[in-house]
This record gives sequence, C-alpha cells and structure tokens, in this order.
Amino acid sequence: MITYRGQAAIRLTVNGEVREVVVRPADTLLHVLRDRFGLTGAKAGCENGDCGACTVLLDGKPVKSCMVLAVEAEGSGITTIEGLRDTPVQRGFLEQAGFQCGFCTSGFIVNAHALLQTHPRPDRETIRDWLESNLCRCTGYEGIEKAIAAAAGPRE
Amino acid sequence: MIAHNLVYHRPETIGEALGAFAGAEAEGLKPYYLAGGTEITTFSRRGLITPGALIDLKTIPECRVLTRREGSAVFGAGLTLNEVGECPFFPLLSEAAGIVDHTVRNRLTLGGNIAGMLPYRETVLPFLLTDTAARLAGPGGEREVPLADIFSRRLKLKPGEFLVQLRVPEAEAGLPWFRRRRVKQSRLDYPLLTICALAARDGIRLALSGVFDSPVRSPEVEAVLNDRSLEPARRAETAAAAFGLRARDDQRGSAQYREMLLLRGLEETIRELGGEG
Ligand SMILES: Cc1cc2nc3c(=O)[nH]c(=O)nc-3n(C[C@H](O)[C@H](O)[C@H](O)COP(=O)(O)OP(=O)(O)OC[C@H]3O[C@@H](n4cnc5c(N)ncnc54)[C@H](O)[C@@H]3O)c2cc1C
Ligand code: FES
Ligand code: FES
Repeated sequence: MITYRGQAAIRLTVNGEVREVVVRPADTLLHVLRDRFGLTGAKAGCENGDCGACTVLLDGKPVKSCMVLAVEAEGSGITTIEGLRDTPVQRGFLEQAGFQCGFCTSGFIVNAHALLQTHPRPDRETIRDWLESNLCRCTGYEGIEKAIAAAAGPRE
Repeated sequence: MIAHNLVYHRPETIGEALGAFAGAEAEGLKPYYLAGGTEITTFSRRGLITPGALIDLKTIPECRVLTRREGSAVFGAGLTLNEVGECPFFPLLSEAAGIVDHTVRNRLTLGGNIAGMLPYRETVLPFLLTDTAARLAGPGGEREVPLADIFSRRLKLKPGEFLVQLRVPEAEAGLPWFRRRRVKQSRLDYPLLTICALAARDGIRLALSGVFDSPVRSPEVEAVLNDRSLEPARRAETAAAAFGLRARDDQRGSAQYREMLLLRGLEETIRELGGEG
C-alpha cells in the first residue's frame, strides 16, 4: 500500500517527461501543474467541476484537474495544453477564431483533441456530448464549433 | 485549494483498505473512502468536510470488476460512469449513468454516486428496481446483502464499511425499460425529476429521484400504477399521491412544478411500458 503524508515527494509523468515534485496529499493536480511545474495553461475557473477550464488528459482521457489530487495521478500519463503542439484542433482554433479572452481555450482544445483522438470523425451528438463539459463566457460557441469541425474529418 | 492537510492511502487489496481505515481512526484522523473524488475534493475545498485521511478504492481489483457470471451482471463500485455507460449488460443503468458531463464521467464512480452526500444518487435507481445484491467489505469481514435492505433514502453502511460490487440478475437487467429526466435548463443541471422504470411480468416497477429529498421506490405507488381497474390518467394521479411525500421546493423548481412533472412522468411511464391496456 502506498501512503503519503505531510510533504511527499512523488513522480508525475507530464507531457512525456517524468518529473519529481513535492506536494501535500491534499494538493489538487491543477495547483501542482500551475504552481510547482509552472504549466499555467490549465486554468482555475470554478474549481467545482463546472467550467472545464482546468481540463487535462490522464492517460489520454480528459479530466477536470481541479477535482483530481496530484497523488492520484501518479503512474498515469498527464498531458496539458503545453504538451500539444500544432495539432489540428489548435490550428482550427486559430483559423476559425475560436476564442476571444482565451480563458476557456486550453480546456476546450485539450478536450477536443482527446475527442478527435478517440473519434476521428465524430458525429454531432458525440461532439455535443464531449464539449458540453466546457463553458465559454465570450464566444457564443460558434467559432469553437467551427474550429472543431475544421479539425475533424468528415462525420462518422 | 484544499486548505487542510490529510493523509492519502492507495491500498491494493480490500484488507489493506480496511486496515488503513482502522489505522486512521486509531490516529484520530477522520477517514473517508475516496473514489472519483468529485464530491470529496469540492466539498473539502469549500470546507464542508475535512477528511483527515483518504483511502483510495479505485485501484482495488474487486472494485473494478465488470463482468457477467452465473446469471448475474456484476458492477464494481469503482467503475467510472463512462465505463458503466458504455457497457451493454444493463441498458437502463447505462442510460442512467449519462448524468453530468463527459469529462466528469471519466472520474465519477458508481459507488461514489450511490454513497455520496448529495440527495440525487441517480445511478442507484436501476438497482433499486431489481433484486440487486450489494457486496460490502467492513471490519467484520465481507458480506453480501440485498441492496434494498441497506438503501433507504441513502446507503446505510456500518462504520468502516464500503461498497465493493453490485450484482444484478441478468433476467431483470434485460427487461424493457423507460427513463425520463427533467431539468430546469441545461441537461447538466441536477434533476427536477428522474424516473427509471422496468416492465416486469408482475407489472411496472418505478423509482425516482429529484422530486423528493432522496431516491425512492414505493410498493404502494407500484400497486396503484399497476391497478388496471383505473383509467391510466387516474392511475398516475393516485400513484403520485401515494408517495405521501412533500416535493422539494427550491430555486431550481417549486414543489408545485415538480408535482406537475411527476404526474406527467407517471403518465408517460404507463404509456411507454404498455400499462394502458
Ligand atoms: C458538476 C457535477 C454535477 C453533478 N450532477 C449530478 C446529477 O445531476 N445527479 C447525480 O446523481 N449526481 C450528480 N453529481 C455527482 C454527485 O454529486 C457526486 O459528486 C458524485 O456522485 C460522487 O462520486 P465520486 O465517485 O466522485 O465520489 P467521491 O467524491 O470519491 O466520494 C463521495 C462520497 O462517497 C463515499 N464513497 C465513495 N465510494 C464509496 C464506496 N465504494 N463505498 C462507500 N462509500 C463510498 C466517499 O467516502 C464520499 O463520502 C454531479 C457531480 C458534479 C461534479
Ligand atoms: S476549474 Fe475545474 S471545472 Fe472549473
Ligand atoms: S474565450 Fe473567453 S471564456 Fe471563452
């Protein structure tokens, strides 16, 4: 059995790199990514599971890192927005102007990237099911939808 | 940020989990079993709970089981709602697991939803409609009991006990079903009404959440729902009254509105499950 108390040294695999870090067991993955690793792409929005601004991938699946403890992520591959480079979804957001203030953008991109990795040609229903996990307060979603449609192949 | 400190345990076996729970209590630390953590992390951040120790059940193999054996479908308490939703063993349960959003469903577990503190516990409804057996582990050892014996408004476990698995007879898991979920605005809202129903040989079985303070299945209500001497509309009306409970009244919906949704939901259930004849 693994036990962590006080200040615990753990190893996390972030964007393909194994990194050692000292955390409190109560620290959320979101705060460790931002405050210990300086990976500030994942945002602290609601910290309540509602907005999706904190979305990262754990073993390729999107999760809300405000509701995951860093110690729980040990042994999993963590991908943040900083680990995505020039992906079709990122290009789609640029070309289709899928953002305004940008606060929600990394969460959307990370989630949409996982969506397209899982369903390369998603139908409307699948896109809706995945993307309702993220909120945007600026764009009205049109640009975001266009960005994802541009990144996706023809529909399933 | 979670302000208070806590100890985190990741046991590999049921025995280790029980040992960690007892050990934390002996140290004077308030232990909580941890599953998807969606409730524990958010409630801790807001200071609503202050766990001294978390015992993570997610990596215990028995809690991750998803199989059919000896005429039953077995669901580990540590399965995520997406895993349950994608599983064809119990179609009504797969549908009921479609709550919250896709990303949260990658973490939120069956056990956490059923044992959680919020009053909705929507994934318990399909289990309440069947002869589900709950496998529990606790300081006194492991036991298997009918879920109906330990779920009354909420899951009633002995101190230190946790839910390991739920076992559903396959014959019941395959029954024709109906589900209706009503919300105030977005599909992601907490429900004003969630009805789950099965059409069994002996008639319609129905359980619901959202209308009252906790999930409920009532034999009195089902007796009325299946009383074919009454017209369907009259049956729905009498069944709604037979709950004998006060509807919730809050900013999501008034009691009157919930009662109206309940009546419509009961009418639809009778219609959809062929109870009109
Ligand atoms: C944004 C959001 C929206 C939601 N909307 C809904 C909704 O509409 N309907 C609905 O029903 N739910 C909804 N929920 C889910 C619900 O409120 C809880 O958050 C969730 O069910 C907890 O599951 P978990 O696996 O994350 O549990 P955790 O947070 O890990 O644990 C919750 C509680 O259950 C206990 N526990 C966990 N597993 C076990 C076990 N195996 N045996 C005994 N005790 C255990 C823990 O000790 C703790 O007390 C929503 C959650 C979020 C975050
Ligand atoms: S910050 Fe995590 S969901 Fe809003
Ligand atoms: S671009 Fe501002 S919140 Fe989405």
